[in-house]
Amino acid sequence: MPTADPSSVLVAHRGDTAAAPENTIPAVQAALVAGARFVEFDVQLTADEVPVVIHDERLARTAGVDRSVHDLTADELASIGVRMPGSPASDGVAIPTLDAMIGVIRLAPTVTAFVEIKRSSLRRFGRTVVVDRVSPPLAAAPTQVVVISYDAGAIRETRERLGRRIGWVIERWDDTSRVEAERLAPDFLFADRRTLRADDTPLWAGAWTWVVFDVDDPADARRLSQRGVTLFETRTFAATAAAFREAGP
Amino acid sequence: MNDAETLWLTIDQGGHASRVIVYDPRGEPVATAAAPITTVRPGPDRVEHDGEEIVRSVRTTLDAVASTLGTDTRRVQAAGLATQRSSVIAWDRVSGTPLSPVLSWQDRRAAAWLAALPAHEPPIADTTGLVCSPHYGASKLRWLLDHVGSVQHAAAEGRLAFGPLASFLLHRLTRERPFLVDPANASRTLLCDWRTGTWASSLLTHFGIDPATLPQCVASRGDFGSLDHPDLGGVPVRVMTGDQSAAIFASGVPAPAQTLVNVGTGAFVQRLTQVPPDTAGGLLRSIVWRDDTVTHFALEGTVNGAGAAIDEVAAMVGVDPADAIRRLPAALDAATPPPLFLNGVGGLGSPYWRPDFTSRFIGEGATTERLAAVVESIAFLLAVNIGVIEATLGPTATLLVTGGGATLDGLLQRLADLTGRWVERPAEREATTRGLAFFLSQSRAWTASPVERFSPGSNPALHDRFARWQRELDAALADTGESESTPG
Repeated sequence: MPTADPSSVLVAHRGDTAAAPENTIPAVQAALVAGARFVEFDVQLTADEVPVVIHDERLARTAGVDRSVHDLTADELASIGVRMPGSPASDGVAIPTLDAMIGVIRLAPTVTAFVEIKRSSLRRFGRTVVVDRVSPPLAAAPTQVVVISYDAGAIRETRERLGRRIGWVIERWDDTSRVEAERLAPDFLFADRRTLRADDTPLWAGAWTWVVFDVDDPADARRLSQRGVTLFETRTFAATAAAFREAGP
Repeated sequence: MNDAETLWLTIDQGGHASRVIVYDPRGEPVATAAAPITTVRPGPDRVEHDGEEIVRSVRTTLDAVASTLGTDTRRVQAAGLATQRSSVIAWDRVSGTPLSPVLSWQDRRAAAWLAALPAHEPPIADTTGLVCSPHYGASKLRWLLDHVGSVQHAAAEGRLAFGPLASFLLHRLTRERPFLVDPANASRTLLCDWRTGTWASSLLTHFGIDPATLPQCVASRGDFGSLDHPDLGGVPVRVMTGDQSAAIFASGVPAPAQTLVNVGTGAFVQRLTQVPPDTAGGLLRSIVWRDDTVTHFALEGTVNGAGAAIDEVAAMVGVDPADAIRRLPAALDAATPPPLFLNGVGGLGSPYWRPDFTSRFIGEGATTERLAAVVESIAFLLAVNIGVIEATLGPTATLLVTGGGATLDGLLQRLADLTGRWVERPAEREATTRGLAFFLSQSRAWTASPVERFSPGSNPALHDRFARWQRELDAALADTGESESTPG
C-alpha cells in the first residue's frame, strides 16, 4: 500500500457492519470512532418521499419484513428496525433518515461521505423527484458529500442542479462504460471488485479517483493500487484497518 | 484518616460559588465547604460579581473546613487556587481594595469597542490562540481604564493592579500579597502569547495596557505565598490555575484519546496535547499547565450557555432556577419531543463565535419541554465541538463528563447517542478541586475516580432533531451575518 495510514485509503462501506447493522447511525459512528475518513451509505425514498438510509428496496433481508420501503411512509418505517444477520428482532436498530445521517457526518468535518442514490427509488419516483428530495439534507454538508449512483443520469442531474461532487458506479467493464465515464467525467469511479478483469491491466485513466468494493485483503489492495485504485471499500472497517496496519505500507 | 498523612487544600472560585475541599493523598475529600456568590446583571451584556464578596466567600469556606479539620489543619501541606477564567478586576495595589466589580467571563460590555478595532492586525488569533472575543480580559480591562474614574486615578498614581480574578484573590488571600498570574489564567486575557505563556508586547500596545499594571507571568506550580488565615495561616500556595484547566486533571493526566467535558455555568470540551496544535478549526488553543518538567496544551471548545442558559430560560418562562434544575431529570425523560433551542446565551461560542447571537426556540413546548430543549442544545453544541477536536487531534475513545451538569443522566445519554462514544461520569464530580489536588500531591499513585458509563444507543428521534437543529442554526447564522470575530 502507498501509505501506512489505512484510514486514508479505506471507505467504510455502509458503516462498520461488524459493529452494528449496515446503513445505521451506530454502524457509521463505529467506523468514525475507529478513525474512518471516508464512509459510504445508500439512500431510498419512502412512500411519502422522505429520503432514508437503507440499501435494499425490500425490508426482508435486513429487517425480516416483507414490505417495500417505497410502500411505507417514514412514520410507518420508524417502527421497523434493521438488524445484523442472525440477530433477533429485538436487536433492531432504527433506519435513519438521510437528514439524521448527514447530521452525524457533519460532526466529523474532515470526513467524506459517499451517498449512493439507489436505482429502485429512481425508477419509482423519477430522477427529478429523488434529486429534489435529497437536496435539502445534502445541502447541510455541501463540502463533505459526494453523490454516487449506478444511474449516470441521476448524478449528472445532481451535479448540474446541486453542484455536488459525484461518483459513478460502473456496472460493466466494457467500452460503452468507458466512453460514458469519459463523457461524464465524474470525481470518482466506483467498481465492484468482481467487475474488474482479474489480470494486472491498469484501470482506465482519467481525472477521477478509483474506488473498488469490497477489498478486505491488504495484498489484494496492493495489487489494485498498482493498477490505479486509490480507495477501497470495506464493510468491516475496524478489522480491515487493523489488517492493513499489520501488513504495513 | 491516617494521622501521618499529609492533606491538600484546594480552592475553586467559580461563577456560582466558592468551594474549598481538602483531600487526602488518595484523592478522597476529607473536608468540604462552599459558599454562594452573587451575580449582578446591571445592564445588557453586563455580568458582575463583588470582589469583596468573593474574598469573603473564600474566607468563609476556609473557616468552615478549618473547623471540620480541627487539629488536623496542621497536616495541610499546601494549597492550590483555581478560578473562573476570563473574569477580571481592578484593585489598589497597595491596599488590595477593589477599584471595580469583577467583570465576569460572561460579561461582554466592550463588544462594540472591540468590534471596531482592526481585526487582523496584530494577528490576535495566532498570538493568543483565542478568538477576538469580548468575553476575554483585554477589552474589559480597556473598558475599566476608559470608564472608571478610580481606575484612572490609580493608574495615574502608579497604584493600579488589574488582571485575572485569580491574581486578585491570590493577592488578597495570602500574607505576602504577591502579584502573579499562571499561564492558564494569563492565556484568557487576549494579551498573552499562547505558546510561551507570557505577555505579548504587540497586544499590550494594541489594547493600550501598561505591562506594569499586569501581574507577572509565572509557571502553574511555584511559590505563590502562604494563606493569610487564623487557622490555616502559613500554608503555602503552590499551584495556581484556571478552573477548567484544573478539571482536565481530575483523574491525573488524561489518556491520550480522552476528551473531557465539564458542564457548569458554561460547558467546556478539552483535549490535551503536549504538541502545540498548528490549526484549531475554530476552537481555542492554550497552555493549561506549565511547570519545570512539562507543558500541557489544550484544544478547547466552549459553550457559553450551559447552567447560564438554564437560569436564563427558567427566568424567561417564570420558573425559579433551582426549581428548573430539579425538574430537568424528568423533563429529559419525558416522551414528548422537546422543541429546538438555538442557544446563544452568553454569546454563541466555538466554533461559530457569534457574541450577539439571539437565542430562540424553534417549535412550541410547555415549560418542561423548553427546559429539556435547553439541555439538548448543550448536548448539540458539545457534540459539534467534539467533532472539531477529533478532526484536529483524531478520534476520541471516551468522553469524561464532570461538573454540575454531569448529574443529568439525560444529558450524558444524549452525548453518547449523538457522538457514538462511551460517556463516563466519575463518581467524584468536583473535577476542578480534584485536579488541583492531583497537582499538589504530584502523586504517581493518583487513582482515577470510579466511573459510571453511558453506552451509545440508537436514538433516531434525537438524531432527527439534531439534524434539524444544525440546519436551523445554519439558517440563523446565514441570516444574521452578525459575526464580529474570526475563528482562530
